[in-house]
Amino acid sequence: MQQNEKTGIRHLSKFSQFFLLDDRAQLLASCDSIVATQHLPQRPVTDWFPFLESIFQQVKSLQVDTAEIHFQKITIPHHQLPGIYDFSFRRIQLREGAFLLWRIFDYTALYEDLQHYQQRRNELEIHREMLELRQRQMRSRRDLNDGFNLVLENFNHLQIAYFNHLRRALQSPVNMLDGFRPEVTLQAANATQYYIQHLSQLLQHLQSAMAEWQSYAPATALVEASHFSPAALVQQLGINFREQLGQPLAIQFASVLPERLQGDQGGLWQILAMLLYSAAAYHPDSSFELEIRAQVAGEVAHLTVIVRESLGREQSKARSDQDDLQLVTRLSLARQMVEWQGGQIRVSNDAKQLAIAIELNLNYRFA
Amino acid sequence: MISKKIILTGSFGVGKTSLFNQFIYNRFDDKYLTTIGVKVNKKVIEIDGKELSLLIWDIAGEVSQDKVPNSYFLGASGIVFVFDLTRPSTYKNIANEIKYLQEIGDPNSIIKVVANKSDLVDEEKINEVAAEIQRPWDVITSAKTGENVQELFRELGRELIDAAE
Repeated sequence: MQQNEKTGIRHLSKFSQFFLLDDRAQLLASCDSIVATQHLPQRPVTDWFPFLESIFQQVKSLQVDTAEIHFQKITIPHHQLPGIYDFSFRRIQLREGAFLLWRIFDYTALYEDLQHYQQRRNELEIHREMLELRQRQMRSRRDLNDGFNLVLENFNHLQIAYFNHLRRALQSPVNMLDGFRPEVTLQAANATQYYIQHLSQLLQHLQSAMAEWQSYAPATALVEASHFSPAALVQQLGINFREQLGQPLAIQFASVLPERLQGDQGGLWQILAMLLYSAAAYHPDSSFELEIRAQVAGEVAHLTVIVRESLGREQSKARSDQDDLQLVTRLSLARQMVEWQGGQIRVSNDAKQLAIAIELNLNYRFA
Repeated sequence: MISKKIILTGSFGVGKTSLFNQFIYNRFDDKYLTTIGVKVNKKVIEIDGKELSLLIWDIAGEVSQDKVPNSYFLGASGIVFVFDLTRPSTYKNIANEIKYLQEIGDPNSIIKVVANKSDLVDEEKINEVAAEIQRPWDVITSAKTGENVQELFRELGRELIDAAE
């Protein structure tokens, strides 16, 4: 601890320095322990010390009895005070009058350690903020993707349902028209045949459109599960067949047939109807038989349905390429529908003038 | 010559020291170096033929302004509140921060809100922040490119001269 001879003010040499100033910021005395003031120009201290310039009006207003003002951790870049200091200001009463006492305390080493710690803390905090921000952005992006996928999924469901609806609505009338057409054509007069030809073309367009709609409705979505009795389904089919074509349909049931299955009942009905009505157009004297049997494997029943036509195509009947094309188209549609349901279709003999047997294999769960 | 004290404040890491260095020394350093306490320096500029000494106090950033010692605001004619466009934490509570600065600062002091680091964001981000922020900014700056830095202090200086007259 040292004491200034002129003013009697005590200070810690090297770590602190005092400056005695008048109200015009003229330096009256200092201990020169940090800054050598004798080399400073004889001008107000505010001229060479911007910190003091910025605060001097407030410092000047201090009274002897007012509390000291403190400023901590002051740095003045590119200045002759290269460290980090605390400043304090107070007005003191000396014999010569009241003066401003400015003291500076050099805590550079301490504050540099503090700065190092603060640097690390701030860097970590900024890093944490950035990570949080990135995570939030990733969550937002994921939510957006989920939302988009949900919309897409709903759209796909809607699309499938829509095209299925169209297909189902038109399938039965198309099948019926297709089944009746050859017979009507034979019996109709020439003039009527002209209209029937146009009707046939329309039918073809409808069949093409339906094939196209089916491409928009994936196979899995076609299966609209419902409970049904396979026996009841084929019995009803036989009744409809007889009523609409005036021909009996012999039905052979396997000894053991599951009572109730779960699956696309409508789809099965349409497939069988399509095959039966097509077979009915082959020969006027044909008889028709439908055999149904099932093989059980765990929770799944492998259903086999065979549609038989007894005579094949009538030899004397003039058949056009268009008729052949329609046969191929119908079988192709039936095959596609069977495959969509995860099944198989096999035509055991489709050569002209020979009986035809078409075998379907489809899997259903027990209801 | 007129002298005016200006405080640079805001959260840490928003670029106050970079604005300070860009304005006074025309330089920028990408490396982040935290400020401890306060850095003080001055720059004399001329506005409409009048010399103005701007005494800039670059204060260590605090998350909340009530952590800044009140003595720092003594005699401040201008307060520049800086936030970082890339960090929501530096502007999410801006309305309260400005209200606090108005309360503790001189009633006649001029407050400027500065959106810094414009070089790091695109227009979409700027619009996003503008929609989100509670108080509109006065100027967008980039201490890195110098965009609007001199203009910020010159405009503030002009307003301070006008207010003094």
